[in-house]
Amino acid sequence: MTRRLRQPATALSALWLALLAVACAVPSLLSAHGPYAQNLSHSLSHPTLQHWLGTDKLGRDLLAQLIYGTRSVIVATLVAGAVAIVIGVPLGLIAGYSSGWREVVISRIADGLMALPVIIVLLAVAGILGNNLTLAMAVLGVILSAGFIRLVRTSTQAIRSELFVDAARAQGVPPVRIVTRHVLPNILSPVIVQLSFGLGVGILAVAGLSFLGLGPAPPAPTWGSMVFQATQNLSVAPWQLVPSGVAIMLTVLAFNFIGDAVIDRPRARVRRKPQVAISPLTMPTGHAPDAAVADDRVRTGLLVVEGLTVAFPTPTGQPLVVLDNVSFAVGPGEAVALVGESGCGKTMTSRAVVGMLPVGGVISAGHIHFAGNDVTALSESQWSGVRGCEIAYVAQDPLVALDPCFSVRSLLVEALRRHGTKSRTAARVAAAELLARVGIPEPASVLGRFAHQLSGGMAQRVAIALALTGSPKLLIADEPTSALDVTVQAELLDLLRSLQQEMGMAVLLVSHDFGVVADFCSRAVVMYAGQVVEESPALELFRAPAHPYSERLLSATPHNASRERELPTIEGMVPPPGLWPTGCHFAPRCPRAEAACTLGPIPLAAPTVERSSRCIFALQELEAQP
Amino acid sequence: MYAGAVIKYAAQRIALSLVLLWVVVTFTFLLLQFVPGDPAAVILGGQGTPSQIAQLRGQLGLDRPVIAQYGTWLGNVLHADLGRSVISGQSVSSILNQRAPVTISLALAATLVSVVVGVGMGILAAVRGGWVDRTVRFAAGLGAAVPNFWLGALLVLVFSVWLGILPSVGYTSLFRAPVSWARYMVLPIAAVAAASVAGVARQTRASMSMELQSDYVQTLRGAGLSRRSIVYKHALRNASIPIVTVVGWLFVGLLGGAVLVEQVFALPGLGQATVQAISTNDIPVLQGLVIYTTVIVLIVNLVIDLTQAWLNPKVGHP
Repeated sequence: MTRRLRQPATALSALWLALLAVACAVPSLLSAHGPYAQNLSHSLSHPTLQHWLGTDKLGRDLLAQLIYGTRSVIVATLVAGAVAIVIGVPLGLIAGYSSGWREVVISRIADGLMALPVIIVLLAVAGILGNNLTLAMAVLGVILSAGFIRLVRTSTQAIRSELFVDAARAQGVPPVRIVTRHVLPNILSPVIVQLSFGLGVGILAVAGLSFLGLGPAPPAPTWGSMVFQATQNLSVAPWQLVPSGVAIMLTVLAFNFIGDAVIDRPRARVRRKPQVAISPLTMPTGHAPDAAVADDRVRTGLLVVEGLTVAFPTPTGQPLVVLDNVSFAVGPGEAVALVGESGCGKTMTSRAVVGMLPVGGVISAGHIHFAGNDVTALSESQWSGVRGCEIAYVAQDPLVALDPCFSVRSLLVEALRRHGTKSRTAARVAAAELLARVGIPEPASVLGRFAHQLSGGMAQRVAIALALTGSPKLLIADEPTSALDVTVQAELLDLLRSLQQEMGMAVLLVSHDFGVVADFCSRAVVMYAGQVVEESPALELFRAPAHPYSERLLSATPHNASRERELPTIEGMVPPPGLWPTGCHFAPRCPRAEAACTLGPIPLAAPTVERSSRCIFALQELEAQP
Repeated sequence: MYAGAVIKYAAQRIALSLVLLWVVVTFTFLLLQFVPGDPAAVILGGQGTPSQIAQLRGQLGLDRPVIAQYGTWLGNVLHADLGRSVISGQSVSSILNQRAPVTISLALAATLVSVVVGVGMGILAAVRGGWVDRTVRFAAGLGAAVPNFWLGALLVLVFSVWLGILPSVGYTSLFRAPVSWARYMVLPIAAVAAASVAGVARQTRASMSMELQSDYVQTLRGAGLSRRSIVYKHALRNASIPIVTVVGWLFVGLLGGAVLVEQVFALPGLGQATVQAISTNDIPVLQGLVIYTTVIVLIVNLVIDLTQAWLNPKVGHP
């Protein structure tokens, strides 16, 4: 349901359930008629002022029957719910908390219960044990407990591995106390959700049984028997079908809505990144870069990003800017680094450049040129003609970067065929060659493997091979080595360097590690809080950073720290989008910040041809240098 | 795929199914022990003379020790002998064999419909988003809440009574007259499938949205694969693993739904046999029914498990 509908829907659901509760407790309060009062002159009537929901064949008021039938269906459903909880929650807790053989046995029981043909078992129980609805519902509760067992087991396992539970256990707190103090409060809301859906199932089951004639004996009214009566008079009085069916549906929906509302509550608190579908944004087109300079860069650069601004729509209507006026360029065959702490916009920039912004992200200003063509506004289908053969992208974590359902061979063959390899046989040969090219020792055996059978380094090599299938001119590697061991890191950087040098492929390397940058990038673009703060040749940057942030970042890099001193860190945190200062974004953390820094936006100044900096001190300092 | 790994997996699953079957067979035996009063008297509906009751007790073996009864019961079930109807004297398995094709064809057809329609709706919701997504979720919410027997009656009202384009009752065998079978079964299938279409659509939407945001999709996009291949080949293949699990659970519900809906359309299936057996206190038929349907469900679950093994490389390629 839509989010807008959800609030009123939850309220209406609660109201409906409250009405049902009253109908259960004091039906006479709601009903003007008795359930058995017959009036044969008003047989099968439509809704009238006297009979709001019409009458049945014997002229009995349908509304009264609904109201007086509420108790049996609700009570039976609650019996099922209660039994399910009483059995399911403790078993789930034991399975989740103790693990080992208990977990195995209990999980198997749950699996078995889920495989039972519910309605048929209920019918047999009710049939054999003499139309005993309560007993049948208790059996339903046992079957429904499987859902609770699974849910509570999973949630308990998740909580058990939390630090505070570990700490409590280490202090010798008895398990029962840990469970009641720490585990139960945390599983309460998922259990309520499961219960609300279970009660929905229960309503349908009770109604189904009484539809077949099980449950309270006639003339006692039940919702299911009302549906049955209606089917007997279908062609004469179709209206009869409406009251009972709608009542059943509304009750199930009400339970489900309440469950949905409980699910939504915690999620609303956690949600940080906007996940809204793309909507057209009207925003001022910002900061047109100097036209002449731009033209020149577009002509000589392979990838030229000019004034790139990316925003996400928010519920308030005020777009959330995550990239602000980002400009940089990568020349043909050049290796450029995009550096900064986490949350500075490096990944967002690299994804914008390949047309892969997260859902909702919109380029609201600026341009991206690739090989002289403006690719800013390409559609997804146009992009898929550019990606792979012009620009390729390698993601951060190799272990989740490969499709787990396909072998390395089929992934590579599909990509190679997409990029023009004619026959399947040729593609297989090419796939093996590619694997050898990225330094995989036994290509033939690796081709037959799946992602879960590869080590991290191996998986990253395969991901790089996949990116190379279209012989791209630019490879964008987003922290390609962060998730790997140090030795594997060095090997992969060697691989990237050799690809860059031997194939003449440009590389844009996203990293938070200056050591990686120093290894093979000729130029570095430093980002902070959604902006480029410095762009310099790598050697110059290391020798004399032109922005205080670069300076702090450099001194915080382990390679530069001397052994005796403590590793310096930058105090504070990168402000998230939406909380950026109006002036210099780094000013709050900058040791050199002055009043002038916070007055207004600081432009990206270019003190020399090769270097630029977004710091008011940069100009003076670079000039002062020899 | 390593045959050894799959065989081991299948053997495990079969062993589990057999254990579950044993539990269900024992449960149905115990049910008889918990009948309030004398089962023979209950079966005869309070009408029986003492000599008739004694004769029925002998026929059902109720006069023997419980443990001996249990032994006979297990032995008979092992030989596919589910006893005899106390009303018609026919063997329970022949009664059920006669009725099962109606119910099974209804449940399987409904499963097929739920997979095709549910997966289609789920993909549409996940890929399109916006109002398509909201509509699909609304329909799924409604489908899960509507009682199938009531929906059946509504469909009869609209398509048989008002529009007069489909028959409301009747049945012909699928194999003898497929077209006529389809005419009789369209409405029952729709009524039974509504809830599971909703379930499959929900699961597909959830799995597909999750898969489409996963890292490997970025890798494939970054390598230049077409959107169609990414959505329909890669994401769908990954999403199919949880979807198939849900289809397995839903089949159990479909079988129950079929039993209820048969009543609306007067279909001569297991549901009708159940209702008759309940009204005549034909306890052996009811016991046999539980075992019979459990076997059907276990076979379907086994097929589902093997499909999982085939879909999920982690099972076939350890």
